Amino acid sequence: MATNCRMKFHGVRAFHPVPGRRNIAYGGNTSCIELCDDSSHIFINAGFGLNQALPNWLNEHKSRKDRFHCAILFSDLFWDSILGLPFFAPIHFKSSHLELFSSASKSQMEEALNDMSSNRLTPFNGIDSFPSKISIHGNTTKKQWGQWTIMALPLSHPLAPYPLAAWRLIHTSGIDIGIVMISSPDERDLALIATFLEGVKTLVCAASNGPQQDAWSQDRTTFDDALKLGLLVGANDLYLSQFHPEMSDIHLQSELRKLSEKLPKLSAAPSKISIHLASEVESFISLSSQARAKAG
Amino acid sequence: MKKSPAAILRFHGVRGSRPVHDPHNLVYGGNSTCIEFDTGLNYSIVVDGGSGLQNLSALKSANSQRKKLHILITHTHWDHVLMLPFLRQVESSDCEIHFYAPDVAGVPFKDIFFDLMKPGRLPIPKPSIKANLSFSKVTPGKTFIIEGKVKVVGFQVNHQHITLGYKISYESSVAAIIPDIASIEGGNLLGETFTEQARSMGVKKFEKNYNSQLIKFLKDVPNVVFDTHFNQENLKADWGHATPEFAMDICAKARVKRLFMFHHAPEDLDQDIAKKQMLAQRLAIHLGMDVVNAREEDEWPLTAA
Repeated sequence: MATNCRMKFHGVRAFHPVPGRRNIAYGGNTSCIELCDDSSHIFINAGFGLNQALPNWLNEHKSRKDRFHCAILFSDLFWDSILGLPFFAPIHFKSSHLELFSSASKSQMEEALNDMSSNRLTPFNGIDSFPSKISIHGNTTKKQWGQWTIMALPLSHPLAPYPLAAWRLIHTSGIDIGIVMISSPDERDLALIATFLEGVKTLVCAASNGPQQDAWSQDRTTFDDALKLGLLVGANDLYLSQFHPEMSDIHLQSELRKLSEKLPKLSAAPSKISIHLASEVESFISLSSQARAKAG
Repeated sequence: MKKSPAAILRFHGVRGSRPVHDPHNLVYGGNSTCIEFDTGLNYSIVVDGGSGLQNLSALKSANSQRKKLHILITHTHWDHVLMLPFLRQVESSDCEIHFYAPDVAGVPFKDIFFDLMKPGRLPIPKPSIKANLSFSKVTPGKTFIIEGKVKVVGFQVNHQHITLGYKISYESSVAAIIPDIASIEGGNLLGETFTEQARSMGVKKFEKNYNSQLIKFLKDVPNVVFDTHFNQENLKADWGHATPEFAMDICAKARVKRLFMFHHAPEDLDQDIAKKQMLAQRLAIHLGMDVVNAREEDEWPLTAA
């Protein structure tokens, strides 16, 4: 089946944004990935990267008759995954419909979104004050979205009083993607995720350790954890993202080299996995080769 | 012998609304608002805690001699407070951090600060606070002194809630920072209690009174940092921001020597901001005022009036 599925990293940072020259190759905006085909838009997380998506939307929407409709899947409800939402152009138009999904309950999502858009912190007054239609779907486990089947694995995490989510998205064309934007590095959690994502061809995984071990990274998956997970699920392509703010371009390239050196030792058989550093600079990544591989 | 300037104005974040990383805005920078007023003494004074705060040298170096930080908050919109919950210094027992801010709709800034660290929102382990933190409420028009040497006074500008512009003086150095401000003309009353005040004295009279108070606040201040988020084409006055024309009009009436255009829109790329400066400088020739764009990492010695 012909497909035009694409993926774009708009925000590759965890914790807080780090604009600047040290991060020119990979980026400095907080968490956001866009997945789209010819008829649907899905965003994973709404960090400040979300505001780099759809750059021509404002100019084009006036001439479009169809209603803008997108899904936003949240891995968590931390500031770095939600703060881009009040500045997302479509949220300011009645003709838009945003559907928000998470493993957390609807009331937990509403509380987080209201905190984020409170009138103390923004010129708005809660999530209901935006003109667009916003549908909040809590406790998501499985959902059909256009040609995508979306599945969530709820995960516990020491920093969150609600379940986080690992996501698996399967397109009718055969494209199969796993997305782990945040997880505890606990062995049991990684085993659980590996079972959930077994067989995905493309895995996006958080690699959030800093140049030095620090308190911020202690509850996060590292570069090593991400590679381990990539090998466990049998991915062809592993995209590392959710970088620590102190990881400059140079640090990231160094981590990638180290992983490439470790790969032969970690994998008994020669591994087919390709490891990539997610980059905001790169344009849309075509996922059609994955679909062709399945068809073949 | 030429006397060295007493203080330096240093820009760590010059963006408004939200931080933005984009390869096309590396000249002016993408961090949200944070400006340092550097007296050269053993403490740091900054205005606002947007993402630019991460570039304050006193925070970047673990061995910094400056263990004391004074943070003046203009208001609590995200672009001005985003970095505050990530301040590692709060966990250090040899650090002192003093916040100065207005209440927001009757809520003390201290409560808002700790709400930013609410479980489930902060993506890092909740800091174990060991630093000496203090919170002082700032009342518009009431002068206060930092470290016995730096004089600060706030002025309520036309923006949501109580948003303060600050005038800071140290020896012969004086600067004013007007972070977010919209023209009040045409009944565009955004500030807390502005509507009530206008109702009691009449809108026109209130607008006239407010504008003269603003000009008086800035009178003869040599260096003024002023919101120029919009231009005449994309101005949305009720969003609470200004244009270069408005900034220049107010500053010219106040006989300001140098205007720093600031709070650049996140959508504006380097070329847009450079163009804004070029157009503004053309107009400023007749006003006898220097107009420059605030740019991340730039530092300006504060010349005496």
